[in-house]
Amino acid sequence: MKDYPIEIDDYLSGTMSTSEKEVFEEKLRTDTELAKELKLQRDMLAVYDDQEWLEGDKEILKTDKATQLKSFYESDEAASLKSTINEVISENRSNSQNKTFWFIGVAASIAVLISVSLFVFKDTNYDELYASYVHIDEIPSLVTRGEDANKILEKAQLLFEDKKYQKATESFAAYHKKETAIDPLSYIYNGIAYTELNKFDEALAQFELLGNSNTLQSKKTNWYKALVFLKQKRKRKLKDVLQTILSDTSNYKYKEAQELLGKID
Amino acid sequence: MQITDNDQLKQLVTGDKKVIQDLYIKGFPKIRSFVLNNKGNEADAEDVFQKALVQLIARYRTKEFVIESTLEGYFYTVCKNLWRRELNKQKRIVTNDAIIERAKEAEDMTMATLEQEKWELFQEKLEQLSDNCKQLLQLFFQKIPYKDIVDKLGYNSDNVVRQRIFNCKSQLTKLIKKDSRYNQIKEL
Repeated sequence: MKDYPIEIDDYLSGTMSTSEKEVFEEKLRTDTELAKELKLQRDMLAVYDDQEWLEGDKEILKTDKATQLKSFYESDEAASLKSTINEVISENRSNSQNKTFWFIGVAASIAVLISVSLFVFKDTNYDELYASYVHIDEIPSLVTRGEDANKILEKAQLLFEDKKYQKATESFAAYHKKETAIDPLSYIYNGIAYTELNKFDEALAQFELLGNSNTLQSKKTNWYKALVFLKQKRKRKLKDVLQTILSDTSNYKYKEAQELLGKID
Repeated sequence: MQITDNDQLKQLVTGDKKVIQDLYIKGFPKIRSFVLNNKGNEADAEDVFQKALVQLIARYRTKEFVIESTLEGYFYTVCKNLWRRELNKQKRIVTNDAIIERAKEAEDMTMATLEQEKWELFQEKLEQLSDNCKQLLQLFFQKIPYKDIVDKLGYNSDNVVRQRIFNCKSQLTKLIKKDSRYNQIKEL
């Protein structure tokens, strides 16, 4: 293999005269080999100078390798991987640890209470089932990320945590009206708030929005709808949506859906 | 039995939560301080951690590879590059935090992956040169003028340096072109 044409260096370093430059650029138009060599030398300058990041040409997306990568990134597997990573991050995040523990504490005590009462009352009690499955502690927080948290959202979450659900839904409504880029988690919070208020149609509407948000959170839609139907005691609807979750083992809350279906049947 | 970095990589690729957690505990503080020291915030650091890890797994799934250094060190480099890329993008586009569609995001992550692979290929080849060539080229790529290189390294003239650099750069070019990976990414 021969050396690359030395005039490329002169061209790139700007030491060519105007006429030399014209000749060189004319040659570039017809000589594709030269154009490729120039690109490589240019890339080397960009990569090795360690300042700017070299962004590639999107043409490469047409190659097989790119297609393979892209389909992995679009897969459900990648989506669930992302949620696992996010779980790890939020569970280990130092500044929210106290809060997480508090939630877990509350959830654990509810769980204990419920398992005790399940021993006492053998009949299915939908309200209790709802309480045992709602797991508010599992919803990632809206406000722990970054300093510039949205004020309305922060307020809404605090109201939610204080169980002031009516006020919380008002704050979420204000947030949804004002913002264009909406955090999909807010639909989950708002939907649960409506469910707690027994405003089921409003709750379902929130989860519908969650489903349409096309985000990683969207796949949770069916499970939250199931919770609404559970609290509403609409057994038929509940069974339908649980069956949908059971159609694919990778669906969000597959195991819980299976368990819940067993309990209500 | 000693668990090697490549065993760890294999476990990581399965998406094992425990292994992810280990990597987070060991690696995140360094990544976090890099991002915070370079115009980023906490959320950016978390985002970089997540994306880098998904990238690593995606690459392994597409084509298995082994890590020459340590998993932690390697992962840190990937994170650093992702953040540099992000900063570079922000210079051009004003990003609003609008929800990116899944397809668009997948496309961007694909580009980031291929760019990272190209970067690694280039770095690897530079490492294979003689120490003298590496030193000369590092100065050259930092845009140090020839005459300063002459003074610094005690050469006789500009011309000698120019010739040396051309030779070294030719070697580097050949090494890059000879690698089969280059053919896959040269469109990039």
